[in-house]
Amino acid sequence: MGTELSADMFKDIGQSTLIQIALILISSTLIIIIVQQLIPRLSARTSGNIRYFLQSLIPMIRLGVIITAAVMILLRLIDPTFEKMVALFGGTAVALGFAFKDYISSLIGGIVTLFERPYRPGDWIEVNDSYGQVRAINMRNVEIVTPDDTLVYIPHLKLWSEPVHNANDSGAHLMTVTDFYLEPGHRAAEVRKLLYDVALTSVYTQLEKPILVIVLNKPWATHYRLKAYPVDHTQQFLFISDLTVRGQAALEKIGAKAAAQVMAATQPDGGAG
Amino acid sequence: MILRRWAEREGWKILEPPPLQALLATESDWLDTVMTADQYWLLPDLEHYFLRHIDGLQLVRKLLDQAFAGSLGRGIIACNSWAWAFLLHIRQGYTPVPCVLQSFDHERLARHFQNLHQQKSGHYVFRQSDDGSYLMPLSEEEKARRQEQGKTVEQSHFLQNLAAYSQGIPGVARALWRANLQFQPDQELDEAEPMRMTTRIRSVVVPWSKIRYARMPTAADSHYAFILHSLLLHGGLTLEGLHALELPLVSAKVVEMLMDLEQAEIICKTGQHWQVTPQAYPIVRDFLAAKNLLLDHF
Repeated sequence: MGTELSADMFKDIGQSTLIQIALILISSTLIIIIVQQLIPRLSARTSGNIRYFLQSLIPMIRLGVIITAAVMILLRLIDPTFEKMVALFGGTAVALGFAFKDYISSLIGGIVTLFERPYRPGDWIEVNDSYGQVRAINMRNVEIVTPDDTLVYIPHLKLWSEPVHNANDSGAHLMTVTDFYLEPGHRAAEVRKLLYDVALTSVYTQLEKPILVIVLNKPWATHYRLKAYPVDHTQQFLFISDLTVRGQAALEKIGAKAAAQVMAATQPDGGAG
Repeated sequence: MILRRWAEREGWKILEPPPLQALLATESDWLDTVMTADQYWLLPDLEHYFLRHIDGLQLVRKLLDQAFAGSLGRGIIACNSWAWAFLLHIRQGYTPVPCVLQSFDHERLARHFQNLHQQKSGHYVFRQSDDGSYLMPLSEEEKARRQEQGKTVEQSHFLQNLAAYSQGIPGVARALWRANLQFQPDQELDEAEPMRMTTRIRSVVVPWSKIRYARMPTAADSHYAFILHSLLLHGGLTLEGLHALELPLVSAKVVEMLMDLEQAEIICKTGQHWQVTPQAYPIVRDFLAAKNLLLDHF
């Protein structure tokens, strides 16, 4: 009986059915390729939220096309009666489920990402010590480009267990933190004002956003965290470099000495300020 | 310029900006040597009293602290809007609300251009070069006379567009106006309504859709934006002043960019100072806004 059910499940697949299936596969592939080529070009001509919205459409359109193509093919292969569908999917699901557990978890994670939007193309995120800008959200993973121009593929599966740090959340502003470690024997109030001016006088600084200097005492040094926003988040590293170079020069001028030895931070500074 | 002339007429002391070295000096008594509380004074260009440099803010901070506290006596401080937007960020404390000259709408611009040209000989009539519409308001008699002759009395919207594009800044509007004046109408208008030279000198202006704008160089990137922004913040800078800002550019690159911008008529050199040209001001402002740099509040 099971064999009869299996045999009856599928329609007679004639030549016309094969041609239809091939056409569905070809046209859905073409649609996906066109969308992946067209939308980035369109979004490059726009800016701000419109650009981010257009880029986020690509994975959604691709998912829709794949699901539609799969359903259309399935309808041509089997008679979609209730019993046949249950038998077909039940057996297949058990086998595939074990084999593709992580893959399916990543796929589901990708779908959840589209709706929950923990990150979007253009965001700067950090997952598992990998920090970079989201270039694309694929079915199974997210592509990020690190500051060293390395492409990192992070499975969506990581969403379930790893925290995702999003530095700009699709906004134009991204805070940078530039660290300075000074030996004791300097005037902290003077250094704090000086570092504030270092940020104020940088051409990269977004002056409409706040500049903060947080001071923390460590056993080995006084730790200054200069928090400021660059005008363009793609220039964040140039910004940090500019603040570091000019900050060090200004500190040397007032006789504040850099700490000889910097211990690795054992815990975050709690986001003070 | 307006304030200077007024102060000269009233006998006020007009302060001149300090040299570059005094701006960057850590301890400077320059302010004490020039300011006296016993005489009314005018400081016409606050944008020349600081540099966007770690050592370039002390003098202006001291000046503003003392001025707003009243310890410098009675005076007037004038500042360009870009420098003012920046200086608001360097002070923490009381800052008075500035007085601002009202921007020029199309009616003011019309009166301004009429006065400008009436200072020269003749009475100018300004018409648009394509359809002959009048740029300046016509008197009722003139309208009636032209209507009797079956001629157009249509009013052009050129001045409204000019007022909006120049943000009501008369210097910018004047530069654009002069750049787009011509003395011959377009061929179609000349054939339909020949403009004969009479005692009333006629002049034509290109329609707004054909106005000649300055254009940014195609290579203009954020580095160009840093230079232009610095020039606006400081009301013009010498090459020495630009180098003193410690921009993230090598000196040769700064010079190359200045040449590029000058060729595109975005900037010009007045004496030793590089400045944004008035007719390029609107596109420079838009360019800096696109780069997310600090804009003035006007």
